[in-house]
Amino acid sequence: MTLPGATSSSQPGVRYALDIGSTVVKLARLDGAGMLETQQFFPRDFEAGIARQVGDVLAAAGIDPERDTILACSSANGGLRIGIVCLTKHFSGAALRNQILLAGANPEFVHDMDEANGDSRRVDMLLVGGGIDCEDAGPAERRLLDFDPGRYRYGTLAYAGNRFLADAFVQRFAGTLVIANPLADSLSGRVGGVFETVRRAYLDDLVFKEGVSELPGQLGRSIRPTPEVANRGFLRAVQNQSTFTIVGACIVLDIGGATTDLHYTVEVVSESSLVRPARGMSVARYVFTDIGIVASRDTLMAQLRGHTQLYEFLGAVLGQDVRDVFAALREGDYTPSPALLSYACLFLALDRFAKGRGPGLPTGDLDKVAQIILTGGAAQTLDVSAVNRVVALMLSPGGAPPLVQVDQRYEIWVGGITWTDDMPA
Amino acid sequence: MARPSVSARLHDLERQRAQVLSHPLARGIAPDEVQRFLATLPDQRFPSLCYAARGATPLIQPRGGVPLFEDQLALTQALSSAGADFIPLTIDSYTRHNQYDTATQLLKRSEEEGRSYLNGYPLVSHGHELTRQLYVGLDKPVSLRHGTPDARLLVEVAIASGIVEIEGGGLCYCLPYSEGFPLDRCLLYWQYVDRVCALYSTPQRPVHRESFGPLSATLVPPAIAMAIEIVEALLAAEQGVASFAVSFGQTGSFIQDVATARVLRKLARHYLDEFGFGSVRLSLVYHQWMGQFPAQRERAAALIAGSALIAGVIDADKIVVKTVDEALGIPRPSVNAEAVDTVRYVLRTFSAAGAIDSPTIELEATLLESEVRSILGAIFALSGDVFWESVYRAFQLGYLDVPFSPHADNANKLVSMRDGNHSIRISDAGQVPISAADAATERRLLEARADRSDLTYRQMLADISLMV
Repeated sequence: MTLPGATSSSQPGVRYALDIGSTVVKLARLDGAGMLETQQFFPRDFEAGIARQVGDVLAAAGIDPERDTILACSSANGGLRIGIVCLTKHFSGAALRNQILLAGANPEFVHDMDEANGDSRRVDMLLVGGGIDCEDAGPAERRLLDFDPGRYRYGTLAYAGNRFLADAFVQRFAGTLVIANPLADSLSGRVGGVFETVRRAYLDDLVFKEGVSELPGQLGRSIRPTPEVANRGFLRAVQNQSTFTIVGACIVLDIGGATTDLHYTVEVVSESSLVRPARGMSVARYVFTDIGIVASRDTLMAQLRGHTQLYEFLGAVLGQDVRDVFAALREGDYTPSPALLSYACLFLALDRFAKGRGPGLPTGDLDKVAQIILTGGAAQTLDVSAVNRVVALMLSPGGAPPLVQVDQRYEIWVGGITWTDDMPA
Repeated sequence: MARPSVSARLHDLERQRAQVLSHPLARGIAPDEVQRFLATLPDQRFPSLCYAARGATPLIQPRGGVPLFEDQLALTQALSSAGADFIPLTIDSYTRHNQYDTATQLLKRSEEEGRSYLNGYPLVSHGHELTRQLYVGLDKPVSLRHGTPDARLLVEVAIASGIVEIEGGGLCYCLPYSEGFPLDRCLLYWQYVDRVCALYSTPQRPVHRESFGPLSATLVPPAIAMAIEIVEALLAAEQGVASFAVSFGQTGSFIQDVATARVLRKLARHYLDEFGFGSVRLSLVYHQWMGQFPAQRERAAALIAGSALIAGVIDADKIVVKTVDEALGIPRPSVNAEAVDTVRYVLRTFSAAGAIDSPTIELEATLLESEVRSILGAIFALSGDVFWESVYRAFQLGYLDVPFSPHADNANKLVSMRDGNHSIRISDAGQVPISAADAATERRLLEARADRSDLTYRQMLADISLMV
């Protein structure tokens, strides 16, 4: 088995890109200009484990990890889970949450410090923060010193609040990881320490949990979180730094087996939305963990069956008399095709975004959306005209239809996987 | 390192443009038809030709926008009759924020009830065909005044309406007007605007762009305002804009206004030439006091007269005027017309372009020029494939820092106050890359103020309320 095209990146500029997903491993060859030349998909071999399967795939394709350049990302363990405890949910909580999302991790909850019941869900990291950097912070200090982390289940405790209170916090909870306060002294909410720390923790988490460290060559040390890759790729696209032409306010939907990832330019958020992305962000993302065509199929179907616009949705996709399908689907007697499931992911994700239905999800104004890009393997089978009909269900009468495109050459992903730290972004 | 270059010009505009023009409120705007329509307009509608033909005094432009077509028509005629050289079209806030549905609903309600539910003219809701009727027979330029981060559709409708002076820019219409609109998106959207302006231009009759130098209009050091103006001129020139006005707002110091005008005119020309944009026609616009305005009619009138005098001294190409109702609300047409008359009277009576110089002004100009060169030099040295990326990074790094900007990408580290002659001084430069010597000079001038207060915030409040 060899990857179509040349078998070695010894040609100038040729690189390989590896995406280790929860159900599929993707191997792609990028040309000297960073464009996708060819790609192949391999179902995950859970018996063999990641390291052995990747080694086999590379060997079969004639790729030498010691010689060839390989860029890799993974979402194989479902991502790092972070719990946030903060002074104010809408400010410090929102700033921390956004940096966690950008870093490719999943914020499980956002609580304020006075939350009496804590949370029983185990998280990989409990991140405590809030306040700007100032010495005179009596009320914040009292709340911080009253805080009881025993109400939570976590692997690592991290502090990212007012730096003048960090010592007191560490004295109470030895071993706390201290991160620079993202709000600093100017309420800016800038990307910085939290983003970097969570990103590193994500990588460490991958290594620890999935045995990625056993991957051949440098892969174990250079692998990146897939959500961050997609987000970077989107950011590069909206900043005109990729081959994808972005024409205005834009949404990217990455429909996968377990999740559907929504990436959006922040001007799409409704003026009336109570939840807002953190300030200073150009793009943001949200993960619908219960919308996907394989692992999340059951929750997807449950939402679809109960949706008030199910009949209209089926009509938009199937374009014929859908009474029988409608009735069978309602009764649970219908087995939808993978394509119909993909349309359902699109429909439900957009519908929930338009209604702000999801913890921490802003309300989107779909009338502002000028462009929708569908990416990921499941999106490849979607028909643009059918997508247009589905999207029209959620637009105001007379609203301008967005430009719908399928990212057939995986340009968003390629843009993200070829991004490096020294690139402006 | 990314320096301004014609190679940054947008070449794949058509897809984006097709999407913008597919909006129902674009009402089928066809660029070819618009081009033909623009060709029918008299030369006097084009600002660069008016600037070239102006006499010894600055041209005068009031502000004004009301929701109903008939009222806007009456305002336009009143301002024209009063002697305004430029006719304004000020846009309502909903349209500025791309909330066209809300603007349209409130326009309808305003029409039904005969009262204003909007604070300006909802141009996109009215559409280009109706708006063309506002200016039938008019032989003066019309200026679009708004404050819109994403002005692509608005500008398409404006130009299709025969409005060929477009104010704004990716920095000056984002930082003072928006808290959260992403600055990178705004810069890219304004590349579109600049490119469209260039595409509709002919060598003889270019669509004119103007930047908004007052920014937050609150203790903005002239060096910051000038650096931003020059950056916007360069970004516009990259896209092919052939006629551009830099501007600044009255600082509150006679000395600093004269020095600022001198340096801004000189350096804007210098940098345009340096980067290969020598053919761009450049003009200078002066805004009357944009800060807190006195409520008393007499003081407001005195302030307006005083700033008109300064506009004459600095030989501005245009002055944008305020009214005695500024502190009270949106001015009535008659008051707007009065302001135009007052300013024209002062300009005519005390014409004294370039008549003033002094060692103090010379020192101030030297300091400002050094600061602007330092800031721009640092931006040009930043990484990025194209210039706008360097500009974006400059804000992330705090190299450009606008006091009292509500925007998230603004560093808010720079602290400014007034010295003894009311000049705006940089008390703490934050991350703004001025030289140590210039920073020391700023502090020395500030410390020389006799009535200086140790309480920074009290001093700043007093400085902000200078004219009240």
